[in-house]
Amino acid sequence: MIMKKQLLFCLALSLIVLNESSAAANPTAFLRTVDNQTYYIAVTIGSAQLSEGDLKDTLPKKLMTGMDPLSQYIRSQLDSKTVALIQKDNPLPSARSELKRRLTSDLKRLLADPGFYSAARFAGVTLRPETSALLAQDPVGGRRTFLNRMLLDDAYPQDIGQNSNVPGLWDGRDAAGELDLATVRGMVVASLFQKGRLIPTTIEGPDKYGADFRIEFSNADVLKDGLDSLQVAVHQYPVDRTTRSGFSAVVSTEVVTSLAPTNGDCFAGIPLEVQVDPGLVNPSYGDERLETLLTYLEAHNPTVRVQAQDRLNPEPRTLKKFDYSGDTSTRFVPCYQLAEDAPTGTFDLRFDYPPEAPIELRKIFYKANIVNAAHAVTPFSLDEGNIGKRALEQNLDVGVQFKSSVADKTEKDAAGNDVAVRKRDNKGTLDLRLAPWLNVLSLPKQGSQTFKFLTPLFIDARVSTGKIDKDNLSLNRIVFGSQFEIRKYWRPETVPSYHRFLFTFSNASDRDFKQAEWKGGFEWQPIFAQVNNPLSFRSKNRKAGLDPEGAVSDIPVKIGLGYQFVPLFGVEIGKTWRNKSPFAAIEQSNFVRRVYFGATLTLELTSYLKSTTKNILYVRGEAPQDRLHNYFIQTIELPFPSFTRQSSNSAFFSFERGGQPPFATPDVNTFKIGYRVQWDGWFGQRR
Amino acid sequence: MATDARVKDLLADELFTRAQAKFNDAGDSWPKKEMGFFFPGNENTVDSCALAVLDKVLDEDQLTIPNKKREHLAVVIKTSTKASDAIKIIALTALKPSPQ
Repeated sequence: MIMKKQLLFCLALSLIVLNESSAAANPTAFLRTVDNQTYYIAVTIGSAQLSEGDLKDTLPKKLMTGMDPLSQYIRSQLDSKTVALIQKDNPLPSARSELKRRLTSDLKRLLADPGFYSAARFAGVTLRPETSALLAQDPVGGRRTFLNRMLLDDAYPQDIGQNSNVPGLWDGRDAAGELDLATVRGMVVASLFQKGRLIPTTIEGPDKYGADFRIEFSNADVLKDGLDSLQVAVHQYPVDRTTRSGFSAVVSTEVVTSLAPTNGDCFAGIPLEVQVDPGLVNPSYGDERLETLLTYLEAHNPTVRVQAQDRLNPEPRTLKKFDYSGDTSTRFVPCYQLAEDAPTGTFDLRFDYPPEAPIELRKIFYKANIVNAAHAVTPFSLDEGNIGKRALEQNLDVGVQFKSSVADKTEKDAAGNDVAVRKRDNKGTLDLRLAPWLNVLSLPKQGSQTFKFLTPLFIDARVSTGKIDKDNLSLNRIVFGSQFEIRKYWRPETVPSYHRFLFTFSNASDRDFKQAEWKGGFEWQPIFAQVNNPLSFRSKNRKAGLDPEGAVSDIPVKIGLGYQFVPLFGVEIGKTWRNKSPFAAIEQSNFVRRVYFGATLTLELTSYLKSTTKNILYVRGEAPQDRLHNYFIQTIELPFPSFTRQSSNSAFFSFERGGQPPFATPDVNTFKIGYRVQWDGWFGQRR
Repeated sequence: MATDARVKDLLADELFTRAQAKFNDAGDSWPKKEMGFFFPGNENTVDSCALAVLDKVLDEDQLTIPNKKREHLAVVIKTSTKASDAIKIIALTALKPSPQ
C-alpha cells in the first residue's frame, strides 16, 4: 500500500516536472476508435512545427532589412511572392495573414534543410546552451529540423514565439547504425491519468493515421463520463540513442462538438456544430469520424431540458428531425428545432446524449441566456418632440407626464367684474408611440449602403387628462399613418455620415377629432460625422490595471462630452377634412401646404444626463395671416437601468413652447416632468 | 471555403477599413470586442459590415443563399454580438446546404 502511494507520488511529481518543459502545440494525445466500442490514445510528438501564430508582425521587416548574414541568407531563399508581399506592406489584416502563411511555408522549407546552419551565418547569434549542446551532436533527420528551429528561435527571439522545446521521437537511425521501431518504442514510458488516478495501459505501435505510438487501455469505464480530466504523461521517450525527453498532454478528440450561435442558416433552431479541429495538421481520422457521427446523430436525438430564468425547475422538451448544412469532410451543422414551444423570455438549454454515444457527444451541451432575436435599444432615439415627426425606432414608446403651466385666466371678482388672474394648471398626459411592425422591407442588396424601411402603421399621440381648453390643447394630438424611409450611408463607419429621407402619409388631429387633416410629407435629415459624436461613440475600453497580462476589459468607459446635431428640412401637403375646432382663431384654407426647417442638438453630459434641444420653424401656406409658427422643446433626460435587454426607461423634464400642425389650438408654454418606457425588437424587426 | 479563419480575415479587413481607429485600439483582442465597439449605437452599420463579409465569402465560394438567410444574419448579428461570435455566425450562414 505504501509502495503504491510512493509510486503514484513519483508519477505525479514527474508529471509536474514534465509539464514545465512541455510545449502545448507540438505533442498531441487524441482519443480514437475503430469500432466505437474500444478506444485508444494516439500520441503524436511532432517537432519543430512552425505555425503562422509563431511569427510576430515584426519578423518580415527584420528579414527584409537585416544586414546580418542570416537575414541576408533567409531573404535570398524566400519565394518571390513572399518578398513581393513584404515589400507591398499592405496593412489589411487578410494581407498580413497571407504574408504569414507564405513566410511560414518558406521557413518550414528552410528548417528542413540540413545545411541551414553554418558558423559564418550564425556568427552574431547568441545560442542557448541546449541549442549549442544539440549542435555539437550534429543530428540528422527530424532532430536536425528540430535543431534548425532552435537556431531560428535563438536568432529572432523577439520575432518568433519560442515553441521548440519538445524534440521529435527518434527514428532509430544514427551514425552508429539502425534500431528497429519496436525497440525504439520499447524505450517509451508513459502513463494515463484520470483525476489523478492511474489507469492501467499498454504502449503499442503507430496507427494508420500517423501517430507515433498508441496508448491502449482496457477499462472502458474510464470514458463513461466523457474525456473529463484524462491526461497522458510521457515520462520518457528517446530523442536519440542516449537522450530522453518527456511531456504531458491533455487527451482530446479530433472532432469537436459544441452548440453554436444561432445564425442565418439556423435562425429559429439550435445549431450543433460538429467539425474536425481546424488546427489539425493531419485531419484524416477526423474526416472519417464525421461520417460516423452524422450517421449516429441522424438516428439518435439527445434528451433536452430547458429552464426559463424565472422558473425554479427545468422542463423536458423533444426535438424534431433536423436539417443540416455543411458537408462531412470538415464540418456539418445539424439545426435542431424544438417540437414544443420554447420558454418565453430568457432561458437556458441543455442537451445530453446517452453514455453509449460516440465519445465526442459524451458531454454536457449547455447554452445559457438564450433570448429571442432582438437588439439593444438604440440610444439617441428618445424623442420627446414633435408628434408625428418623431423617429420611429422602437415598437413601443410610452410615457406618462405631469404638466404644470401658468397662464392668465379671466375670473369674476366679488363685484362681478372680469379680472385677469395668474393661475397654475396641473394635468397628466399620456405620450404614446406605437409601431407594431417597424419595417417590412428587406435589407440592402449586395454592395449597397442604402437601407430602406417601411413602417406600415404607426400611432404617435400625446393626450392629456381633463377638459380640453385653450391652455393645453396643443398637447392633445393624435397622428397615425405610415412611413417610408431611405437611409443612405456614404460613410458606414464608426462615426457614420448618412442622409435620411422620410416620406410620411398621415392623419393628424386633436384628441377629440374636432380638426383633422390628412397629408403627405417629405423630410430630409443629413447626419454628418463631424457633428455626430454621441457619448457611446467616444467610449474606450478600459485596460484592466490589476490584470498582470494587461487584458483589455469590455467595460466601456465614457470619455468627454457626447454631441449630435441633426438639421432637418421638410414639406407637407394635404387637406383639412374636418374643422369643428372652437379654438381656431384664424380662418385658413383647407389645402394644407407647409415647409419647415429646424434642428435637434443633443448633448450627453454624462451617461446619466442628456439634454436635447429642438427647434422647428413652420411656414404655413394655408394660413397667410398666421404664416410663421415656431416650436421649441428642451428636454433633460435621466436614463435608468433597463428592466430587460429590449427596453429602456428614463425620467425626464421638459420645457415646451410653441405650436405644431395642424395648429388648431393655441401655442403651449409648459413645463413637464415624466417617466418614459421604450421597448423594441418585436417580430425581430428594427430600424 | 467559408472556414472560420477565412471569415476572420475578411471581417478584420472590413473592420480595418470601416472602423480603423477602433480596430487599432482593440489590437489583437479585436475578436473579443462587441460589434458595437466598432459601430456604437448603430445597427445599420453593423448590418452593413456583416453583410459585406457574408457577400465576400459567398462570392469566393461561388454560392448564393436565399435573401431570408441574409435577413436572419443581420438580425442575429447586432451591436451586442462579439466579433468572434459574428465570425462563427457568418461562417455557419455561408455553409453549403447538405442534400437530404
